[in-house]
This record gives sequence, structure tokens and C-alpha cells, in this order.
Amino acid sequence: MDSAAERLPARVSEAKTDSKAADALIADYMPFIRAETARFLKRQPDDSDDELSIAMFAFYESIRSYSRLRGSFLKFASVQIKSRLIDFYRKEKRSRGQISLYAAGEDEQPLMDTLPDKEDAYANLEMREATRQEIEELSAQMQQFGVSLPDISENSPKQHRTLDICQRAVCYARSQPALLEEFLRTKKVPLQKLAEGAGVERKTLERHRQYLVAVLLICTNGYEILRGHIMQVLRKGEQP
Amino acid sequence: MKYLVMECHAGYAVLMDEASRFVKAANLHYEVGQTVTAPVLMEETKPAIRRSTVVRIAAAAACLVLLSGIGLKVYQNRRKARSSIRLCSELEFEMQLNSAGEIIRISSSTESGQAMLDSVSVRKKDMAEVVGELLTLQREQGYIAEGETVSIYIDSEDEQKYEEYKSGVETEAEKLNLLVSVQPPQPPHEHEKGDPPAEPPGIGSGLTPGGAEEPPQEALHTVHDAPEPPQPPEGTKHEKHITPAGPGSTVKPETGTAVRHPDPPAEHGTAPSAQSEHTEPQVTTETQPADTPVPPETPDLRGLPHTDPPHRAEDDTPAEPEAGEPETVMPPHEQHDTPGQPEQPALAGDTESDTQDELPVSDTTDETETVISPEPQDTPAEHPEPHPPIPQAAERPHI
Repeated sequence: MDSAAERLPARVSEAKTDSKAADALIADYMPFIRAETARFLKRQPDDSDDELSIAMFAFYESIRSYSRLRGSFLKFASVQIKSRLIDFYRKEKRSRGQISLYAAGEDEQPLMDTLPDKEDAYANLEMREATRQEIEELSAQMQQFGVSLPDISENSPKQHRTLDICQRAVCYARSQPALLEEFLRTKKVPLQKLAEGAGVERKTLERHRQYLVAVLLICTNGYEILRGHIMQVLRKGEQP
Repeated sequence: MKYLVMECHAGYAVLMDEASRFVKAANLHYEVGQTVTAPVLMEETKPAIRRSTVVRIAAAAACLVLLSGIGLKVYQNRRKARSSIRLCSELEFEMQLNSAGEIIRISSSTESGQAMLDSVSVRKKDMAEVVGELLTLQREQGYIAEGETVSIYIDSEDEQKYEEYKSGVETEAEKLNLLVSVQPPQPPHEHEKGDPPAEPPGIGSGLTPGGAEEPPQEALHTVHDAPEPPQPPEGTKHEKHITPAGPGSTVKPETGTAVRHPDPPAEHGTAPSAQSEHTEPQVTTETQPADTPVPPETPDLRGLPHTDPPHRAEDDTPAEPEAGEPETVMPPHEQHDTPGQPEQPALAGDTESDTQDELPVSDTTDETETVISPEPQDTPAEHPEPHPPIPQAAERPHI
């Protein structure tokens, strides 16, 4: 136990940049996360409880934001978990008093069964499956470019101004098929051409290179569902 | 805003919104490809640098304060007078040097001397060089004749520095065909002048620009040897040269400086007690404030029984200042007006102590001169040689 505690800071540092190490650390400290959740709920959480998911998410956030200046990691994580659970509780409080669709009705059947189904569940299921396949293909292709989805989430532009610059570059690339072919062939983002063509700063594009890889791949053939998801943005960029 | 679940992990999920942003959120049992609308998004992690930044700023501020303090201390040390050199000629000059031998103050007790100083720049100049310039100017203006002997008193805590200054001064004098008599400052004798210095000896502040007029010409003009105890000009407070007194000669306190050089060698820089690092100590010069009438003979030693300025070591008892010379020691405050000059406590040792209490003031002009030698017979005019022991006096060349 002592050795695990001694190695914890090193593991946390490693988990900051490695998603697999972060997953492993979370799995190893699930008992701790469950205990913190139980302290808040005053009962043992189930695997299906959203609070447990929130606690795990808070634990991951603690890994990302921890530094030795903050003291003990577990104490820091405990505070983070508690804060997140309180925020979630307050947010969910607004929906209190509402009846769950899965609650049993008069005839002991879920209320949901009594409601008309406006959506086609099977269609939704197929759509979701197709989307999943596209996403898996996209992830595999991004690995050829040396990027992963967690990396892209880190590299994604946060500010609206920066996002707008990247979107203009992507829209310019869509208007230049030769540029997209060069991108797929060289496995490199043609930053200079994009900057000149879109009239944006190259430095901004360089800072968000991994993000541009993902979005440019979506713009190529084979990712219609994903492209449809962000079509509003793409159409907006195409507008003069 | 709709979010498309792109990837699921144990503690989080990667979502893509309709603006093509990729974000991390809590994995509330999501599935890849699922579309969600109200995810729990990850907050922007603020880097934990605040504390370290504060620590760095505090450390930088502390270093700055420390360096400033050190710099200030160094500056103050450089401005502190460690040695003084008095050029006793018709125009008396006094220079104060710091530990590095740089001139930090220079003044003259005469108006002509002051005027001469105005025409000389001492900035970034060696002490010997400045002495040479002053001697040159004096010679050109007729204050010194070629071949004359000029008395120079060097008061330094460090014997090595004393020798260094001495050799520098002698070298400069050689170039001008002048003779110099370099000695450590000596306790003021009653100076031969006879006329009681008008102003009380005071603390022997060296040459205060206050413009003490030069002591009686004849006394000062001595230029050669034994600086007569300068008659304190009436009303002016300045200390002129130091009359060498015998070892242990007491300086009248009132004269301002209780020079207590028991022996010449001792004085060299070691006679600190007698004089403060500044030459002050011994010179008697009347330090009395101008307005204060100088009691003729009666030293107003605060109870000092005797006024024997130079009292030798063996002469433990404070010599009675017959001419009212107070005990040697020049009360600190009187001794010098220059900062940093501790007034000389009494002469060598013995009585000085008590003499010190009583104030130097030699309110009597007499005392200024008398201060030096305990016994009245110390010729005030000549510079006190009352006590045999003072070798310097003896060797003082008479031209």
C-alpha cells in the first residue's frame, strides 16, 4: 500500500498525457471513487448511477489538474469529486418531482410504453451503428496521421475567434479537391497553402494542426454522417 | 447544441459538437455514435502556477531588497571617512579619505583655500595627485616658496595606508621641490600663539568649511614642522593642524581634539583612541564656537582637575591644564563636526577618560593652545613639544 501511495504521484503525471494510463489509474482507484460517492449519496452507488459516472469524471479531472503544489492527490481528488457531485445534484434538482418514463404505471407497465413513439427506434439504432462505424474508421485513419481523439480534444480551438479561423481554412480546403488529395497522400496538413488561400495566420493553424487533421479527414469521402453533423458549420464557412 | 459521442473511456467521453469542436465530458453511460444534448463538460483546468508565481515574486522581491541593502551598505562604507590628511600650509586643507583611499571630502579653513579648492577638481583623482595640485597652486600663488617644508598630518587607522599616503605625498612634494613633514596627527598643544583662540576648540572638526580663518599666521605658516597649534580663529571652528604632542599628551578637550598619541609609532594609525579615525582627535584647535568666549586660561573642564593635554602614559593623572587646558580629551561633540569622527577621548589613556567627560570645549582660546601640553610652559607658540616623548616634534625639521 505504501508503495502504491508512493508511486501515485508518478502515475498521475503519466496519466496526464497518456489516456491509457489514465484509464488504468481510474480502474485501480474505483474503490476510492465508490467510497467518495457513497459518502455523498449516503448509500452504496450502483454501476448504473449517474453519480458514480460523475465521480469518475471528477477523478479524471483531478488527474488533469493535479500538481504537487496542491498537496496530496487523493485529498485533492476527494474535494473535486464532492464539488462535481454537488453541482450535478443541483442541476438535477431542477428536474425533481418529475416522473420517470420508466416508472411503473397503473398497470405496472412503464409509462414509456403508454406514450406514442414518435421516433423510429430501429432507425435510430441503425443510424447510431452506422455512425459508430464511421467513427471507428475515422479513428483508424487518424492513427495514420499520428493523432487520436483525446489529443484532438486537447488541441481543439476553445475561443470562437480561433475556431472561426480554422473553419475558414477547412472550407477553403473543401473548395480545393487537389489540396485534399495532397493532404491524404502526404499525410501532412498543407498549412502554408491553407493559410494563403484562406487568408489566415499560419501560426494559428499550426497550433491546431491535430484538430485540422480530424476535420479535414471528415471532409473527405466516406464520412457522410459525421460531415452531416458539422454541416451547419461547413455551410456557414462556405458562405461569402 | 447536439453532441456526437466519438469515443468512450472509463472516466470520460470525447464528444463532437455541431461547431466541429471536440470536447471531453463525463461518460454517463454513453455509446459511441450516440447523440446527446446535455453533457457534463470538462472544465478548463487552470494551471496551478499561482502559488509558485507568488513564491517567485516574493523571492524576487526579497532578493531585490537584499541587494539594495547590500548596495546601500557598500555605498555608506565608501562614504565613510577612514583617514584624513591635513595639509598645513598657509592655506590649510583637510581631506578625508575612505577605505579605498578616495577623497570623499576636502575643505579648507580659509577663504583663499576654499577659492583654491574651487579651481581644483578632485573627482576621480588620486589623493597624492590632489595634494600635488594644491601644493603647486600654492607655490604659484606664493603661499609656499620652493624649498619650504610643508607639514602634512595623516591620520589613518591602517598603518599600511598611512605609509602609502605618506609616500604618495612625499613623491608629489619631491616633484615640486618642496619638503614635507609627514606625521600622524598629534594632540594639540597649547599653541604657542599666545593669543587664546577666540573660539573654543570645539570638537576639532577639521577644516570645516565654516571658514575658520586660519590660525595665526605664524602658527600655521609653520608649514614646516611641528604644526603649531593653530590659534583658533575667533569665532571659527575649524581645526587646523594638529599639534603634535608628546605621547600621551593630552589634548584639551576644548580644543577639540584630544590627541593622544602616546608615541609616534603608536599613532600611526593605531592611535585610534586618541583620534578618531579622523584626525580630529588631537588637534586642539579651538573648537569653540565662535560666539563662545574663550576663557583664557581656565579650562572649563567639567571638573577636570587638570588640564594637561598631553599626558604621557606614565603620567597617569590628568595633567592639570595649567592654562586651563582641559583634559585632553575633546569631547566628542566638540571635536569634530565632521561626521564620523569620533572625538578623541582624552589623551592616552588615563585621564582622558575623565577628561572626556568634561567637555572639551575649551571655551577658552587658551585651551586650544593649551590643550596640548599639560604644563603651561608648553610654549603655545611652538608646537608643543612639552613632552619629550613626541619624536615627531623633535624631528620636525626647522627650516
